[in-house]
Amino acid sequence: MATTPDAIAKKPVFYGWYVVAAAFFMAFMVVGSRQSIGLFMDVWAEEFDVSIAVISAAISIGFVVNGLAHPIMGKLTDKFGGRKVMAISMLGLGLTTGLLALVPNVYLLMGVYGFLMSFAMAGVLFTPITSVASRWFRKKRGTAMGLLAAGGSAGGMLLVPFLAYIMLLTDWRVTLGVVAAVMSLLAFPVLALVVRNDPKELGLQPDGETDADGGAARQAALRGGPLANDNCWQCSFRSAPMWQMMLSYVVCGITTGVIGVHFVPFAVNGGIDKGTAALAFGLLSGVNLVGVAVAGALSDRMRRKDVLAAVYFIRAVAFVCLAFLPTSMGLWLFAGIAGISWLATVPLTSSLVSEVYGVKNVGILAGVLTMVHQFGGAGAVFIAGVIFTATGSYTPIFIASIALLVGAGFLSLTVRERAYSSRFQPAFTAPKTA
Amino acid sequence: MPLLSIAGHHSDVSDPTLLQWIVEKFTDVVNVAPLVVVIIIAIIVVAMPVAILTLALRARRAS
Repeated sequence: MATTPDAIAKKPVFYGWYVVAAAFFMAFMVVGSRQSIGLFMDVWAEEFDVSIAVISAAISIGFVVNGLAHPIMGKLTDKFGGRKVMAISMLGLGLTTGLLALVPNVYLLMGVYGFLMSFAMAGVLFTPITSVASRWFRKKRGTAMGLLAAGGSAGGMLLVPFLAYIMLLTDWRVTLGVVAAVMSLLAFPVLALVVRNDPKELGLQPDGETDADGGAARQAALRGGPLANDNCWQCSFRSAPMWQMMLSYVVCGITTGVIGVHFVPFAVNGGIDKGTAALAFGLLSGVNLVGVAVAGALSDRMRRKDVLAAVYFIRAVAFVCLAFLPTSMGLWLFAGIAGISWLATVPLTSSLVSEVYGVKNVGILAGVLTMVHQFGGAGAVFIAGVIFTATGSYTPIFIASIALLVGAGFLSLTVRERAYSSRFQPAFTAPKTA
Repeated sequence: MPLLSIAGHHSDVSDPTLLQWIVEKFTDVVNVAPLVVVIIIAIIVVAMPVAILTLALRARRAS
């Protein structure tokens, strides 16, 4: 019998969506404030009487520390639960941001930003939340992961001007103090009070299913993926899907790293002014906000590996525009096309990992994947810089990116999702029992 | 120091010139005093977690 409109109206919102909302705000704050660090570089260089290169070194140290911290945070997540890791990390991030507002010299800046803050950041995004979201959602996992990742894009768009204006009205120390206060007094309580590691803690089932429709039995069967080995997370690396996803994820890191760093210099090199290049990059970010949410939602209706492969192929097409079209046209087309794919690999890859290898060890596995993604990006930035210095052209870098992206697309397509993903196992697809 | 100068372009943190340009464009578009922008965005930044917290706790109590 069809559900009456009254029954639909009275149906409460599934609590998992509040968890997603809390994670959205967390991503909003952390990604936004992290991207805003660029605002402080000139001021720091002037105040501490050092070159921009020294400030950059502190940021680079932070990048390495952050990459290495992800597997550690992943392991802690699997042991203590994502809620504790995220809440404590957010509080730590707030306190260390406050500490950064007080640093008297560049050495302490390196220590606080390069080590403490960068370590704490890994405990907030995206490793622990992958574990939490995977427990709350099965059918709508891609949608949930996509929405919370979109929080990062929104943060980048709104928080950067916010902090820039505060700096304009006050100074950098007050600005960082504001960030510290929001993280400690708003984001921390939200994470601590709203997020729960598992729907079972509230007597719920993933996706809001109920015991009456056989949800408990079905969901219990789905907690482990077909290739899950709860006592040996390293064993995941003995199977093909992990390598297929990891290698393609490295390509994601490489290509986003190259563009994040070399997009504006490429445009300027092609005779485009910096402002136009920035506007094109802004378009990329705006499209990305929608793209990541749509890709996540689509992957709940299709095979995730197909959406993931499409994302890599779309990004390859964007690089073709950049490599072979006149700079101006290529720039805009690239921004529009690549924006669709930018953060979209995050919800797709993490959802796929949890469905193949189960939720027990998803923290450490997501942490390792994030680490290789980060290091792939860092290595690519360096190599691209060397190639440009040697050849004076970005074209070889973009052609290499196209080849890698096409390879990553095909690699994603070869994941045997029907055989290895919990979504396609009988427990998931079987009709509900009355 | 070529190594550091390459590392200095890292993607995680946006280019200061780029950010400055974005802020200038933002100012052109919204065309209001910086303090007004700060207040508006501050309201959004505070309202978001307060709303999430209130609704989530209410939902927990209701269930």
